[in-house]
Amino acid sequence: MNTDWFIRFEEYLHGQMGREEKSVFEAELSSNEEMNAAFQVYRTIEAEMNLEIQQHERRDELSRSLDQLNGKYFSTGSRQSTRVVSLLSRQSIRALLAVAASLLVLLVVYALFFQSSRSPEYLAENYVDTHLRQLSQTMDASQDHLQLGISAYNEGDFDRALEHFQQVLKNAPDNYEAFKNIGLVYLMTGQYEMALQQFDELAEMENLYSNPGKFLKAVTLMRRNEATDKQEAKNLLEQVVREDASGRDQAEEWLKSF
Amino acid sequence: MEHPDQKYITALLNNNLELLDELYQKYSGKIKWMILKNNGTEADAADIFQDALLSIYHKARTKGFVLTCPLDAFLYLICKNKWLNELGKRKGRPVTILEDEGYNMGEDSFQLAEECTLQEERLILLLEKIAELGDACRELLHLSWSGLTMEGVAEKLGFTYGYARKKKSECMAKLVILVKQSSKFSELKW
Repeated sequence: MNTDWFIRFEEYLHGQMGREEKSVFEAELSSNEEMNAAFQVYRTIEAEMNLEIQQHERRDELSRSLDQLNGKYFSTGSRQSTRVVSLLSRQSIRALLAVAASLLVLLVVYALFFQSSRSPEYLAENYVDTHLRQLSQTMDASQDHLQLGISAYNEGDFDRALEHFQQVLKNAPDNYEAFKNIGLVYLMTGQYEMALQQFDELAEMENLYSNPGKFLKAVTLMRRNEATDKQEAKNLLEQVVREDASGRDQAEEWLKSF
Repeated sequence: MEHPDQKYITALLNNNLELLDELYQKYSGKIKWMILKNNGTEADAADIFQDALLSIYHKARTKGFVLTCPLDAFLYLICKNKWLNELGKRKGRPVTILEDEGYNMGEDSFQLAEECTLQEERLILLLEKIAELGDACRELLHLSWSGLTMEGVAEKLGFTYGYARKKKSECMAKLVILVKQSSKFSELKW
């Protein structure tokens, strides 16, 4: 295949040809079947990939909204929470991963240039991955449902985890650990409204040595990242620092990025 | 002619949560029912529904897309195709012929659903073939698709403008050859 064609395709599609040159090019396309076929594929690739690369953030935002609505309209349990929604169906994930891996270096460079990795949403996502995906088992063997709930949570079976944590609360309504973990289940499964409500109530609980309610509410808002969420999260993080509450160090660190 | 349901397409493009919620309210139940009736679970239904909306979003973001038929028939056809594909992959499970109950399937619905599926399959093939290119090509092409001019791409990579153009033409030539050699190429409209 003639690579000179491709330089001309680029010029034509980017309006870099003069009128006469354009007419000659179009005439050649009409008369040369092979060149025309290559041009059609070239044009489609350019159009598809420009959209794919330039609009990935918008698509990711839409995916998050759909995740949230899926949580509301379908009982999807753990599956939804662990699923990374992509524009493409699951069959393409392997291909996506291969491309993603190869572009990793680029993304690092990109992040250095644009600091997108410091966005509150990214920080929250990273925090959830490193700190909230696995819960520590408690030492109290008498709280069977709590232990079972934590095990289910750590296995990603959030439906079962929720049932156990709710059972704990049925027997002991003031069990702070179960209360917090229910909020975490909602956070992990993208049911942000429920998570916020849970962490709000947790923040109101008194007589706790260290209350993470406000901090976890801030994490939820950062992860959800809707219109006023960032500001609200910032206010909460400032309160956490001022009150020296649970999550203080992390809050202080994050506030530098806001 | 633009159908009044175009508002849902705009909602997908603008990530309008209020209208998307309305869309879920109106259509998710029917899709859930169709999948539950055909060996699926509610989690399957959620996946299929979401994948279908993302396919529609992908189609809608191309310039000049107009919805000319009711969304429910269009959405149903995409979900049905996706679910039949999924069932086909899960060997051993019986595939019921899905009945298109209560839908007004106009020609437009079939055509839009087909275009949507083709577009998605083209992108899948493209991503596969891009992964087969060398690192240098992938890097250059990614930068050029990210919205940079070729001058910008050349500057980022420390190339001259002329070399960057030449290199891009070579990389695209390789990519076009890979795509055309694929057995799926002829099925997809380019």
